[in-house]
Amino acid sequence: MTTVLEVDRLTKHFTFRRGWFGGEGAVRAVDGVTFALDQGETLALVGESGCGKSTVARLVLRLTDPTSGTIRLRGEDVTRMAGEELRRARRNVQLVFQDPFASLNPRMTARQIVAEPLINYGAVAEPAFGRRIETLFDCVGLARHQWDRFPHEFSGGQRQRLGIARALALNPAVLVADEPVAALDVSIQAQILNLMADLKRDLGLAYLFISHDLSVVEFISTTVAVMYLGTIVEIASRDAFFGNPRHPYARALLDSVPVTHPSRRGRRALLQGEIPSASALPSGCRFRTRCPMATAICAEQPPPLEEKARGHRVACHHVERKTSAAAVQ
Amino acid sequence: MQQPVLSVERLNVSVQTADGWCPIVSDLSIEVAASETLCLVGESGCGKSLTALAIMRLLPRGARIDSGRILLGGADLAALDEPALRDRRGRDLAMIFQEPMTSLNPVMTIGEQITEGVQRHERVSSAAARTRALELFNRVRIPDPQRRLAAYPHQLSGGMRQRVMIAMALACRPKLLLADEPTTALDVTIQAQILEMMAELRAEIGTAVVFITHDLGVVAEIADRVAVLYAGKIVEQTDVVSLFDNSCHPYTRGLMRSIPRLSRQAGGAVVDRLTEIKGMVPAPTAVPTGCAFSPRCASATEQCAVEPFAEPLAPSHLVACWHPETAGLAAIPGGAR
Repeated sequence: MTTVLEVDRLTKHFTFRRGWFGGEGAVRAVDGVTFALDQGETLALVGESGCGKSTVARLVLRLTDPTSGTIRLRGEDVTRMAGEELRRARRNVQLVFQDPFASLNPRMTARQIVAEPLINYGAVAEPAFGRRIETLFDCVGLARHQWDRFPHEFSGGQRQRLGIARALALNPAVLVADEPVAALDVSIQAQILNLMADLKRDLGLAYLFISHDLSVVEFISTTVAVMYLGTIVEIASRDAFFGNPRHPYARALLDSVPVTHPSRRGRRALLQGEIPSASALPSGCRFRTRCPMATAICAEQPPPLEEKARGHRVACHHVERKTSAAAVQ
Repeated sequence: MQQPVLSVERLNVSVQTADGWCPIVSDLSIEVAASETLCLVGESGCGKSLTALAIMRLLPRGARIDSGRILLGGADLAALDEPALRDRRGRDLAMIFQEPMTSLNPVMTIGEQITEGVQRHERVSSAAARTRALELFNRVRIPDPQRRLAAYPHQLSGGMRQRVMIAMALACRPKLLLADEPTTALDVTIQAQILEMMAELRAEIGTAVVFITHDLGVVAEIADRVAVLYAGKIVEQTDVVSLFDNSCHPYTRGLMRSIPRLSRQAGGAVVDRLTEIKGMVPAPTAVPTGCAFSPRCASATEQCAVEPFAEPLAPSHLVACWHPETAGLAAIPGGAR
């Protein structure tokens, strides 16, 4: 399997001054995030608002510069690229936005929106140009009579299809999707999720899929990484994660998902409190202030992200390393 | 069912468009009893928020109640004038919104905003109102309540603001609480906390709740009864367990099937494909005649060109459909036609 995206100890700190005479403070939005994404895979970044998942997306797209760490795209280090070199590298990683209402130019027709990346990159020679556009519209299920419409004439689901067609125009290796279905109605959400699953299979794409919705993540992902305050606290294959989540935060997150039937109400331990500020992180483990398992060691040492079972890495002092013979949990 | 606190009878709401008044809510009838939560479920544009605003008599300019009665505590809210409504809002009925930041006053402290409401409706001293606010803050589990009373809305997190809104809405122990997607903007862990707290408070105060949401998971968590809206009409109305076990309307069934579910909750393997509802919700100006759902419905026939009326398929299970899927109902005593 080819690795298309590799991120190593990626860090982004936003600095600010604390008043006139105060020193410099830093919001540690992303703090040492490492993962790899293979062709045909979907890595889901999961977490609550402020956990840094969208900042990771912006870093991968080089829309913001990392404080440290490296980003490799198809084996090529793009971390410090600039100018024309960066522009050329960027065609390999494209973005689908959360809000299909805000991310399409209202003065361009659907055809112009989808053609724009092709024109920008001189990607397709004139005779094949029309065919490419037709293929793209076919891919996302928009009919020919809709090509010359403006964004406001489309519904939310159709606009998201348009955003996906635009992202696919340059045949990228990686599609970054930042909450692509969060703004859509439930009946439309299923259409877009099915479409994304089909496209990945047919085009051999890799998705970096950012979402707060665990049921959506379970449907679409192959690997799940849970983020909390800028770090990955657990990363595992989808089945390993949903079958046996190990980190106390990941468990609490799963327990917070609303039930699927009224008979299942109230069978859970809710997480207390709220996420602390990323500019005033707790010492040691960042989750310890809300963690039911926290002990003295959690305040002293940040737990490393370690392999606790095969391919299942967890950052917690209280999760036992599982030997092959040991029972689950 | 016990005597309803709120009963809405054949409510019709329309909004002004370039081509005249366009109906948004048609012949909506609901009843809610004390300590009961009725969920209004539907997708964007189905009229669920306008229904709540109509009950509050807070419809924006360009929207109006065409007909219908809104009975609360012996009075028809639809017929009251503004001064009479002001006496009731906050005392008899209150509302919380999706985005608490836009419904709190940014230049008043939280404490002032709560005590203002209490003193508007009850003859109490400002010290007593302040004590009431403190109790409420404790009740909605706002940490460090004394200090928070002096805070401004921007100094609080989204979850805290929603707690403040709930405290404010319940300050005068209203008979009816309208909640419009109160947890949609919140993270799941905070949503779970707020839903649990709302359920406790409802039981404690005995308030009737109309809870608006698009999320069937939230419905499963909090509802006693559910009304499903499509294009401004109630297509199915029943108790929450029947809705999840025996929904009969093709739209409700489609919604149920289209949401991804956690395998650990639903049991079994992860699905490869989600079931889609074809097409999309019609624009309010272009609602099909007859059954509004028929163009998207797999069971639709010629008969669906005539509008179906809401019919009880089982005791207190109303369905507006010519071809309801009643397989699950046959087993229930008194079920099916």
